[in-house]
Amino acid sequence: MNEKITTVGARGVGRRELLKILAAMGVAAPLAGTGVAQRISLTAAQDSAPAAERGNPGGAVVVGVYQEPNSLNFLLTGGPISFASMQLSPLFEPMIRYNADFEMEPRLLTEIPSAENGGISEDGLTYTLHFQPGVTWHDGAPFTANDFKFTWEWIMDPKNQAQATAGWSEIESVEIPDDNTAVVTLKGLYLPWVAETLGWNPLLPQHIQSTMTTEEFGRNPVGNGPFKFVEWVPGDHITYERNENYYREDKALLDRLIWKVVPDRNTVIAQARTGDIQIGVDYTEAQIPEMSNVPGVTLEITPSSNYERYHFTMVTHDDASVPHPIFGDKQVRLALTHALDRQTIVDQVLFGKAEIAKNELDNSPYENTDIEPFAFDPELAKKLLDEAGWIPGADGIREKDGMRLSFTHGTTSGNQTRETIQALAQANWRDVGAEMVVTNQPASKFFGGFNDGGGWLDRTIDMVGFTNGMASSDPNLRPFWHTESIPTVDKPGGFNHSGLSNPDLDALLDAQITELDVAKRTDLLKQAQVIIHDEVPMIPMYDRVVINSIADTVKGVRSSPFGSISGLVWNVEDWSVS
Amino acid sequence: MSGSASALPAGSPLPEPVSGLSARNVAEQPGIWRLAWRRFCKHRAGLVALVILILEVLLAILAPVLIPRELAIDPNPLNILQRPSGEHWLGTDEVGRDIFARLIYASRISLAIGFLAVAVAIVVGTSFGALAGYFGGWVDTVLMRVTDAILSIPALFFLIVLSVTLGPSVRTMIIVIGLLSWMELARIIRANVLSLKRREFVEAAHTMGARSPQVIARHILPNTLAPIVVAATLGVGNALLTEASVSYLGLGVQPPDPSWGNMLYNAQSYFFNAPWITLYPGIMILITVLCINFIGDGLRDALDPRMKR
Amino acid sequence: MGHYVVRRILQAVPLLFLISVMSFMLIRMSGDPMSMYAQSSSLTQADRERIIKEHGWDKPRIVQYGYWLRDVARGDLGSSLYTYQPVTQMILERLPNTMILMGTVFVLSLAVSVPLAIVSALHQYSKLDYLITGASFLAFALPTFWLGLVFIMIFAVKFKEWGLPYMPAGGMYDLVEGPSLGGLVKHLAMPAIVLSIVSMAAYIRYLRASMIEVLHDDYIRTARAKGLPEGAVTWRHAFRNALIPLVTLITMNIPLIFSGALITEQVFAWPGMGRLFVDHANRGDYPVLMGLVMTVSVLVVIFNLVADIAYAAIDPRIRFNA
Repeated sequence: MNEKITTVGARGVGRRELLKILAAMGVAAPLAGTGVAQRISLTAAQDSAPAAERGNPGGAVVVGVYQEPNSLNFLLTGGPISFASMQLSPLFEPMIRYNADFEMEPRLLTEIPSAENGGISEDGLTYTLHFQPGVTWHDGAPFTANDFKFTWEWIMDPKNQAQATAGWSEIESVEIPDDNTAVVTLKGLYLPWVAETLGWNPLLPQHIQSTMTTEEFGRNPVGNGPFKFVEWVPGDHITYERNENYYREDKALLDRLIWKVVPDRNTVIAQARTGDIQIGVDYTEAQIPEMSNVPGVTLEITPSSNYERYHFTMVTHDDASVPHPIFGDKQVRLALTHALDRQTIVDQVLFGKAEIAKNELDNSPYENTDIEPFAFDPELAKKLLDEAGWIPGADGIREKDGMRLSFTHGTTSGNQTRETIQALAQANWRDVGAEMVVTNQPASKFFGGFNDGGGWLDRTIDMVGFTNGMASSDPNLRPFWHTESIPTVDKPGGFNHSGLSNPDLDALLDAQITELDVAKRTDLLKQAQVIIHDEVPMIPMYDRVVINSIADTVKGVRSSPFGSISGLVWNVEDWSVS
Repeated sequence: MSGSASALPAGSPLPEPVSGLSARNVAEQPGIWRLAWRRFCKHRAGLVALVILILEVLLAILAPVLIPRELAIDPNPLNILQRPSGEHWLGTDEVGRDIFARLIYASRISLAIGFLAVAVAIVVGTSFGALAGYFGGWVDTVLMRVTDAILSIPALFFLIVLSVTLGPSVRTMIIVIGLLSWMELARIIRANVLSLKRREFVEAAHTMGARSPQVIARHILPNTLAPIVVAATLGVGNALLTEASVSYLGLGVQPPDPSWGNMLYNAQSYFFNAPWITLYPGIMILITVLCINFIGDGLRDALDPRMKR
Repeated sequence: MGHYVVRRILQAVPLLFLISVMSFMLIRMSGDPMSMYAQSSSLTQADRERIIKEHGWDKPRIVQYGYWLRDVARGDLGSSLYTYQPVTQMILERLPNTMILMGTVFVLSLAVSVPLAIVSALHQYSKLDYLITGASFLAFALPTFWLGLVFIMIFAVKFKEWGLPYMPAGGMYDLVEGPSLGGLVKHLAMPAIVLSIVSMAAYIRYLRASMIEVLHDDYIRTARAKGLPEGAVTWRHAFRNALIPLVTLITMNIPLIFSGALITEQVFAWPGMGRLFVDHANRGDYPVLMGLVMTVSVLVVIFNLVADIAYAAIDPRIRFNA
């Protein structure tokens, strides 16, 4: 089972490894001063690859992407999982990066702050950050700790339009005792601060960003990473060249790195086959056979902690206290879960490259591995439906009190993998006497807000399919399953899609958010998972993978599972062409 | 869907409005349709096309009798992307459904979209064009400004936004394609009417005391039939092609219902492994649009009122 | 004539207003800009609320339209909600690319279709006529995206596999070698030919039909009866009258030169206006969508006016009742 995710061409990480890695990461771990002994020693690998493995300098790599970045300023890209974040990463040295083994590596920082190395104070509120000396921005100006302070101030000033403030907004003050040191004081204890604020994030050059708007900087970025920005031709391509003044000994090997925008995903395949692009990013599962066995091209499949899920709508749109006429009944939800043949979906549609997703926090160190997915058992499903009072009608679809067991199912339209799986699910459910009517919406509508017709959230569709995983590297489930997180007309925030409301679960979710002991917190989260599993508010479908194609001429690519697609570029300075 | 498909008169592939508009002429000159039919028969390509299209429509209407719907709808995951065989004449698709069955069921949906969308377009376009051109003045101004307003937004722009708003479905497609394809027709008809209404025979009709609706119906519209026929035939083809385009953008007929457009789009992902599956829906669209155009061609020759003199 | 032009320009103002209201309401209904942030974990709930407030999305749509109109009145089409760039700049970046592609297509398809249509009409029911109409029927019956992909698969992918000189599969320039005129032509060839094939078919159909109609007209017969040479009949009388639908066609297609070919641009990765629309329609980015719609609308209004004046110049029977 665990070997299910094998990578073509022996690249990437297996699932078991991923689990280990995530556990090792211990994301929220650096809780010194709280009496928590559970600290993870993070590998402080300075050299990501031994010199012997590095290829020869020179050449260019063209990476085909079906989306253009909206900006090359990380303040506007909305977190590490976006295309734009992948594209800006080679320009900006992150404070901490995640390597292919999902370990944290300090980059701009000399070490990852922890209680052991004195980076985190006894009370857990003060962090001391030591930055690398001798780093310069691409224009030659020196990088200092002042840039860190400036970045924080710039983000927190609303006029600068920074999209996301998570982590940064927890900072109370920043002191700069010397050019290479920043002392950060938090407003309060905040578990995921290191992961959220220091992990992946780059910094902004004060002397340049302060002279222009956030947006302008995003079009003319000046970074401190292994590559320098050259040009951006909108809709066509973005070109970077090697930063000759990179502060590390191992400068980028490639002369140039080019992002080519190829909006049609089938054309991406064609371009990978013709060699117009050397790397193709983020294929769909449906494209696996088309890209397998292409001479000179290897598919790299990397697992992620995200998974596809089908959420039942358990309460009505107008009133979250009124149960949904069909899915308000747990027995029906359970029956439909048993009726769904997920293994066939995984084997046939996903070509065996994925696994059935098991539960919330799947593939994370907080996963309750005692929970087994509900088995495929159509007979049991029929029995459960009979017991629930749903009796087959003339057309084979069950009825109860004059109501047919017919429900709408929606996901993003135009996604072939999702549509194919919908067709299979539809057939499975018809076999047990339930009718599923497809009502897909374009992503711009589907992912809209509760009061703006966002089908994934607003409970106007009876069942919704989408991908989500651990929201950040922190496992807080409260925004997804707490009663207070049920979006309503008056209070549209929150992501409790199904409308699950369980007082025991609420208590656990409230407790885990303030529990500083990682072991205890994990235990609370595991209990929460049991309740979520038993309530059947959703069907975990399958684990998502990131699929890239890499020409055999390109050496040194080894994606990190962190950040989904942006995991591709974590070691971009080691890429070479032969 | 069968209701909409069977609403098409089997003998006349053009939607009703065209014949309806010249109905008065028919009443007075009983020989005209027989004459037209005889002339149409001389157009061999048109005749062959008509036979093929009638067969297609019949097949579409009779599909539920001939082929169980399950074959076209139910996935069979153990039977994916099979090559053509005795069991599956055209092979199977990416979820193991019989492609032949899907093509036939798709024809019900695609043909309905094609014809009904054009019916909508002809009614709206002819009315706008004829009224605007004939009356001129403020009627012309208002009608043509509305036409301009819709024309000035590229159809696919509008189509995307409208389909998203109304939600992708067969009915949405008919309405949206219909409402977005009448403007060219209206403008062509208006231009023709403008040119026609100063001609001797129309001015003569006026002198003899004919009233406006009579003049439009009896003298002007029959004389603009050629452009209507040409535009309508191109329109049906266009509607079928637009359906395909909209499918390409993911806003077409929703799964599991097949349409030629969504079959064609889905097949693209398997171009290298199963190139045959992208061929069939493409060929169906090709044949159908070809037939419709040849029929339109034949009809134009047959109906052109000036050729009978 | 002068009065007529002035009147039409004045009429254009309410027309554009009408278009803008219709489009704004439709576009706002069709997508929620917040969908861009739906799955972005780094946004706090406070961030979301701040963004909504900033843009006034908590206000009624008509008020939002008011904001948009106010900015437009000041000559500001606003900024993209996604790229944060000024919409005017984004459109100006794409416009030349689209004009290169569509202009080529326009010239190419007219240059081929006008002579073919005339030949076809003059020799109605000849083998040549059947060939031309048959080919144009065939071309018209091909879905663009399919044709485009087949072209890519054959002339780029398969030609390369067969060791033949192959075409680039998309984009505008060779990225490794850098921009050059030769590279542009090479990249332009496939999308331009695919689009030309499809649009030629429509041109030939219209022009042939109207030529034939004109050739059967009374005054042409009269001209023939008077013993005018056939060439003179064709050119002086028939073609001139057949120009009316040609003018209609041309003026109706000119806006396409600016709005671009949404699907072909998508398939061939051509960085034009059509793709700008698709990209931003997927995000509910209404300032960009409105900017595109209004830019194209203004151009259409202008060319419609030109068309009506052209009709009058060609067909003396059309009188302006100004």
